[in-house]
Amino acid sequence: MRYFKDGTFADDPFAGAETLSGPDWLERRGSALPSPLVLQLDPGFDVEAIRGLGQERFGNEGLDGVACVKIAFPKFTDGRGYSMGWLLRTRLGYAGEMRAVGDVLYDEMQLMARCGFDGFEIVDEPTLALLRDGRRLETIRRFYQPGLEPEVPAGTRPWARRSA
Amino acid sequence: MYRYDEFDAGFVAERVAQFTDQVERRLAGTLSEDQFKPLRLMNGVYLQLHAYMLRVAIPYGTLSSRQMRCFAHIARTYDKGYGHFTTRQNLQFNWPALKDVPAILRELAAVEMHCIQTSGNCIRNTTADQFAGAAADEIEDPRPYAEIIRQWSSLHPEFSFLPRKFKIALTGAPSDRAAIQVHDIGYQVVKDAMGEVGFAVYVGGGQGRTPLIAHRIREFLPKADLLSYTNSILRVYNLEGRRDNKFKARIKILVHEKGADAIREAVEADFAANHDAGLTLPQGEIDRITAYFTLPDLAARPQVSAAVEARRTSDPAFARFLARNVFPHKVPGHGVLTVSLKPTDGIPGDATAEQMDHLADLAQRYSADELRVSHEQNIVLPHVRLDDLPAIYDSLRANDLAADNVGLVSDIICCPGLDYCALATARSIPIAQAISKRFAEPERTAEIGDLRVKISGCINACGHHHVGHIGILGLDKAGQETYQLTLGGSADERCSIGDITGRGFSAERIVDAVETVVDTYLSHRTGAEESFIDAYRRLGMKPFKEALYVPAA
Ligand code: SF4
Repeated sequence: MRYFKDGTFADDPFAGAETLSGPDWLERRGSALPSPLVLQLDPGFDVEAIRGLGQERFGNEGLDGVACVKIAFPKFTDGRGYSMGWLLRTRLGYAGEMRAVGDVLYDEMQLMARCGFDGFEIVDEPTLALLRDGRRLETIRRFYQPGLEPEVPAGTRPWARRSA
Repeated sequence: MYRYDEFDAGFVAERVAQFTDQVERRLAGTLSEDQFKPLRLMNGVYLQLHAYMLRVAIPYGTLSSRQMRCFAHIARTYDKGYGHFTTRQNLQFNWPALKDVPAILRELAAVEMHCIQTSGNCIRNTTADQFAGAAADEIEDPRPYAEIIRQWSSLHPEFSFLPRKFKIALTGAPSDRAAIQVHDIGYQVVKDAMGEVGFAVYVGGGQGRTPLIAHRIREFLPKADLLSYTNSILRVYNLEGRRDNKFKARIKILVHEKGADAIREAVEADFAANHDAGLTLPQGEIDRITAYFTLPDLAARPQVSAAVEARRTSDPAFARFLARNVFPHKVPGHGVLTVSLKPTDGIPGDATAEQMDHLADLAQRYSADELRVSHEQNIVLPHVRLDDLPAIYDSLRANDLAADNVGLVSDIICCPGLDYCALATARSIPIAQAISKRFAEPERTAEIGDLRVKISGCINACGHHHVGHIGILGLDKAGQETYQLTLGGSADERCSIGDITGRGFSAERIVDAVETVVDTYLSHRTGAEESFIDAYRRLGMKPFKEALYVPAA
């Protein structure tokens, strides 16, 4: 496994940190939690449940203190993680590292990045080879819908973007 | 019609380059077939029984003569000289080599076409009424909205790995020619009490193993919210749709299991929170896209054409053609002409390269350069002058394209079935051919009147059999092709799912069974003005069942 962030292979700053599953974390909230706090959310975990009852609708208190959220892609064809990531960034205002883990493949990484993922744990050897050869994620530079990477609006279409 | 600007052309070029690279990595072996499969499907490349198949998107079924000529060229150069128009208004090439696909994609891109999202578990090519923009009964042309959805859904980062495929259809008229109630989302253009135009929203329709009619979850959606609302439906589906069983993964099952009210609530909650995520459509943008679909400059002409009337009285075949194949146009003195791809003994939806070229010529000369593909697998010339109809008819006759059977028993929707499809349990094309031969007598089919026959080669129902007035489903019963018959289905605004008549029929007997059903209808109808579907709704299954399953004497 290699860790890829900001367009390059890097050392995992959270290597060895205890990782809590979503349900474990919800249960242990309020008691002593590991630091740094690293979560791993599996597909099917209701990210909107993070926002506690009575909290601000768009507040980020729900994820205060969380240093890294890993979202699992057990199979690359299971696309729930894309919506989970999108909601964490846009609805819950999560600004920390959001990492894709599991069956992370080159051809899907740009889609993940556009949904707000900014870290990747990669096992697939051909994907690692492409990245080692200098391939980067930006295969497509024109988008027909807003994404969460830095993008500039293109022309008059409100949803069309170009990658910055 | 819509024209690419630099942004669109650049986008398609990027996608072609991306897919070319993916094919190269697949051929080099660094992309496994499992990893490649969703990628190639997302670009319209299927593995069929005998070869790869390439499905080209014809957005909402609208194309120019230049695009049609490109299809003819591809059919000649990379395929066996023909193509197949599908029930999703697309075109399929049945025999391309995988290594040629990138070259075909470049040829298509040169005429502003692509294969993006014509298959796979993503948002598919959006379909619309084939008469859109021309039909006299329309509130507003739905194609600008289909184009807006097409753009927004292209390589969508959040919705490219859905539980299953996702199909959206739009209609701009109260009579539904786009079968919107059997789609994942159906949008119907409506006017509210204030005269404002927007959409009624239907969700969760579908065919396949579990045919279900969509629920209307919203009476009126303002135009500006079209993408925002679509986005919310997709998000609820992406997060909650079942992924444990491929046969229960469509949104119709989610709606069915949770109930339409629960889905409406979830969608509305997401929509309320999402409201201004950059997807709200400014009127200026709607106007910009709508301008591409302006009706061509057709001068109003006399309502009645002397040339047509003269020919009608002297030529009964032409009179039948007029009665069946021509639909009223918005502009007086014009008509919307359907060219049937269902000649006697033909393969429904197939067209040769020569026929495609010929249709392109006719469109250029007589129909403002525009063609349409209907979900009934026919071709439409949307803007013809009535005065030109005799000349067009003669030209169609000379090219084997003058079948006068639109909407009649021989205008059969038929999926490829066991002749091509890897999933098929029985042949469907030979059954369609046999039925068309049995009902080859034009006077007789005209006498029978409106009757939609739809045939699928397996339970996936690509041939829409559930919503055929007469539906035929090919099954494999202990190694024998067996055909299950359903009656009373309908895909229009009075949508219904057909009822199974009883035990199935062999390939030899199914055509007789269809004829028995037709004869039963003829002997029970109140008159020629009572169509098959109306008679069935009045009579129910009983008389048909009695006629079909006569106890052995
Ligand atoms: S209905 Fe079945 S046989 Fe026909 S095209 Fe669809 S999957 Fe193939």
